[in-house]
Amino acid sequence: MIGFRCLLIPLITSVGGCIDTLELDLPGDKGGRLVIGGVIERSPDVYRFLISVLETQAVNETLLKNTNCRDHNHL
Amino acid sequence: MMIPNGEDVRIKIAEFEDRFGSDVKEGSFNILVELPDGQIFESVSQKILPVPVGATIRLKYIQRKVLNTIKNIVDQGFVKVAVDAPLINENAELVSLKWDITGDFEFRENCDDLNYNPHICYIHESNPVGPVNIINAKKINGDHVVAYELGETLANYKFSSRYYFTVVQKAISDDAANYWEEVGSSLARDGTIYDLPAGLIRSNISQTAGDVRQVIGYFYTASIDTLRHRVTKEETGFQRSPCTFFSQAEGCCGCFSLAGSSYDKPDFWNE
Repeated sequence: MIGFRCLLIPLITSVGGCIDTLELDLPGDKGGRLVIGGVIERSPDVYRFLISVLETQAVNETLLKNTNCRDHNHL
Repeated sequence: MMIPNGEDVRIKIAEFEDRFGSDVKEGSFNILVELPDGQIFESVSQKILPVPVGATIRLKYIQRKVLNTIKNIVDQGFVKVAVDAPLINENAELVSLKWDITGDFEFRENCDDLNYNPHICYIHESNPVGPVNIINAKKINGDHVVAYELGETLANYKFSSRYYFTVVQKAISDDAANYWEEVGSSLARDGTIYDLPAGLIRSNISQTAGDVRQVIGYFYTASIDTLRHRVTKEETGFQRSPCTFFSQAEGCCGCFSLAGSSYDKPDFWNE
């Protein structure tokens, strides 16, 4: 078995300048759920590895809609 | 092997096998996520199932009546995308399949301004027929599918010049197929009262160390085969360019402003 280790690097959520961002006045309720997605694919030429670790912001599991921003890191 | 968060890492097969041995093809894979505060999460292990070969793409043009923006009933054309695909791989295993579909078309400018030097743009569509297409091998009879519909897209100007559908066919486990079916139902908000509620879907990742924390998510493996199809005018209803007669339509004097546009020709364009 081959184990793949993904180290979560703290990133800053930047919400300025993105037309899809909804800025909400959220309560300071921290401790949302961790969302982990991982895939390993093999094509005829290459192996592809993609692992993403995100965190929900716990206001009854509301997610910030910021997924279409190309120019911002969103964690 | 360490994978940075969110980074799409690609390694050539020969290089990967040099590193981990040529029998890695038969091995199982899992992921382990370690957070800075010591919490560790680990997925179940999965093998990469070989993808069946020999699938082909089928297109069909249809028309049906729809309401337009001013509430009149009009005939609207659609292009349906389907596949013929075997479900048995080289190891004689019956596998489930997931298809990711993208589209690329060229847009030729034709501007009223005679001093303008027209360009050709290449426009990429991420999910022209919808985001999740799955076939769960356990839920069908037989070892292949014929004209299995993956979805449809509006028949419009994008088919007026050259258009390529690219279908990435992935062989996945039955468990992964169940997961993606649940994701699909959740996105479509359909199903029955006995289905899982939207947003509540299975996970195969669990915590193995650190302070207890809720985690959801999924890890899966797949082998992939890429199918590409250049559409014909017959398959798409003989669409016309919006710029044919020096129109003022969007993009005719500046196609780079169209969503997904680029001046760079895709690698496969002249295949």
